[in-house]
Amino acid sequence: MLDWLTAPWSEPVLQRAFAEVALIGLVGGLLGCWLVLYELSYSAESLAHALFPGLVAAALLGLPLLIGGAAGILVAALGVALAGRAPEIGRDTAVAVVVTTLFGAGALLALAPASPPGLGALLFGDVLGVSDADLALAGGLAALLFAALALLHGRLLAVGFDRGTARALGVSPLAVDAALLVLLALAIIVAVQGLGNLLVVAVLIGPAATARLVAQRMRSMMAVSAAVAVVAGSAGLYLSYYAGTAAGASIAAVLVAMFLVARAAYHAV
Amino acid sequence: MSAVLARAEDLAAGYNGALALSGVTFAVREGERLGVLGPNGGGKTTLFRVLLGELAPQAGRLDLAVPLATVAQTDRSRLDFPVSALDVALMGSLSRLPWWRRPGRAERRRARGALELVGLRDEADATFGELSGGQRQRVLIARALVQDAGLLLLDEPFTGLDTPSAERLEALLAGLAADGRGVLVATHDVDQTRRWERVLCVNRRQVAFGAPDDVLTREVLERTYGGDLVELPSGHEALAPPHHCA
Repeated sequence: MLDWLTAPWSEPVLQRAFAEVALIGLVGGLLGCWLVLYELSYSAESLAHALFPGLVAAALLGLPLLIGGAAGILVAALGVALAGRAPEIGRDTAVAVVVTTLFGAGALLALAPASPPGLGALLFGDVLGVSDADLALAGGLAALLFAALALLHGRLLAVGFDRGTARALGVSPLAVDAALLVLLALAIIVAVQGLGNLLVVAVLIGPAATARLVAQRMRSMMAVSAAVAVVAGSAGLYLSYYAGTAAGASIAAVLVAMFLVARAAYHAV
Repeated sequence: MSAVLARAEDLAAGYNGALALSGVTFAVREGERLGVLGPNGGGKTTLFRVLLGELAPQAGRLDLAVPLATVAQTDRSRLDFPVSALDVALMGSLSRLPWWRRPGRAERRRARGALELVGLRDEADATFGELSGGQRQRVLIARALVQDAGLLLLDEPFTGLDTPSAERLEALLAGLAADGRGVLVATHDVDQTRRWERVLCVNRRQVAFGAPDDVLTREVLERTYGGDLVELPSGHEALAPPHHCA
């Protein structure tokens, strides 16, 4: 049994993968609580897809993914704002059109025959291909995100609790919303390497949705969510190691399974 | 005479160029409870929004001598949010702390003290959404006290409360006024405002302002509520039917 558990750890590739998965789990698990409570789950999915061409372009040009992600978000925001002004389609439709157009463009670029191989990893993730430099960058971004979440905690709580009176408490809902979206973009950039653009939302929403079923306070919800995300990430890696399944998809599958178990337990109590 | 906490002179405000309320002139002093009476859409909420700085007045003057805090109807807040009564009371410290400071031990002590003052010492760690309507209202008052507000605005705080809860809230408001705070309450209960120090009647413009005995005449109430007045056989002159702030 012990051998079974320790075997994957003997390989440096998997050591880095476990570290990456733990980082992604902490980032996704903590930030995800706010996304779920702010009802931004679908926005998270849209944003992840809309900044995809930015990531691909950065990878093609040899630039840091961070720059590509930031540019991708600007293009997406501009696109949504412009399409939303077209009177013949509603805002809802405008967002869907812009997001699918951008995601399609990114996929076209990533999977073009002329593109170097490996860009497909941005779609489905390549947690086993993580380098020490990738880990260092993800760690730096994650530290930034943890600090921002700690600083913003009270304000996020006040706006989420009652948007209408937040201003009277000296908190700007607009600034808090904008900060949350910036943090979401950061989290996507941290997680995209490991989980891929298509599965990143699983680690943002799955653990938080699970934690919400069992936790009565924000702090306990965040603790449970982060723990669920890290455990599911590690379990997914074991599954991938022994069953030979894709790592990103295995992690997403474990996350969904944990949510379903928690939900069944919640309704059974 | 006690100090003026807020004074409005010929105040007017509205939305998209149309006036929702005009000609409002009143003052609240230390230790006064001021009842704001008016029909649905009569401008009570517009007045509150101007006082809170959410809506700029289109005419007139508003002078505020003390910080204001608002106590919204509790169904406006998210009852499914994972917060305790103490968490909510602590939100009141946000306006007093610089943005990089997190509430510390002093703020927590202050929030617990405010909860004790509103009679919720033992409920500090209870989940906000699981408290009764009256208790939730008192948690929001505790939050306003943590804000160090000299003037509290309450938007129909008695709506949906049972009699013991309403009496408890009434006593709490009296205590706050006795401590030198001003309390401004939008309400639909005319009889209740008879026990307070000042009444302001609005119906898209100011109908009357002054002491209850001077203001709450049949003529003023008819101009405030139009045809909505209901006669009561109990000897009271009139009672307006329940309204919700527009």
